[in-house]
Amino acid sequence: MSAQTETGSGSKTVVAMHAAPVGTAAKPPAHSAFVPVLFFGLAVLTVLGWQTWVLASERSNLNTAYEGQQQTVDNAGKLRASLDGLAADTQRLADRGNGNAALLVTELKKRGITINPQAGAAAAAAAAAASAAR
Amino acid sequence: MNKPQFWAATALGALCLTLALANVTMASMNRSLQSDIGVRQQYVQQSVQLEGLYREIVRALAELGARNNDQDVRALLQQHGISYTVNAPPAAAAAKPAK
Repeated sequence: MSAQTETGSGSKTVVAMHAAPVGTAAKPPAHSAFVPVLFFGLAVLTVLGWQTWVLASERSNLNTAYEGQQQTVDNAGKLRASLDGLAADTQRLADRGNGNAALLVTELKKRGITINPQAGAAAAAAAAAASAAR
Repeated sequence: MNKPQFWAATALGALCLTLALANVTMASMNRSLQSDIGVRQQYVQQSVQLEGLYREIVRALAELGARNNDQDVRALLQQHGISYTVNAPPAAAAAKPAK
């Protein structure tokens, strides 16, 4: 289909007109959701990957700290076992009538420290078992 | 979205889910380990205080044993690997200068 117009100077302008098919509106070009989904997924993946790296690094540091404590904790356990053993033996000596041991036990009691001889024996046994297990 | 794109997006989603689960697990484990470290630190700090008490008991026993020449106390300390010696009084203080 074409239309012709005539101007006053005599030149002709020809305009081509395509006939649109009846009942079909012009559709916008279809966009795939893949690209936005891909970008979103990559963003989430990046954040999660970074978080994993931070957590793994933190775990490594914590493991190092835990292992670094081991010697100190062992020494503290030995000290506690020694203290419990010495206190329990002092209490037993005081119970047998030793005046010096009784004086020490009394002084400790005044300061709010009571000695349980059974606890001392149990702690010593536990310390011995722990050292044997290692 | 065609078939390869669908599977690529699915794989990406699965990877994200796996990482998220791993992160949650690792964070929980880290918190537990941190708690353990705190407990051990507290144990050590309490033991430092007990070390002072232990030293005081040993010193008191040694002084009492030495002052009263108590063989039971000396044996008790020796049983725990502690020995002591009594310093002799200075000879100069004992001996009076001759005039």
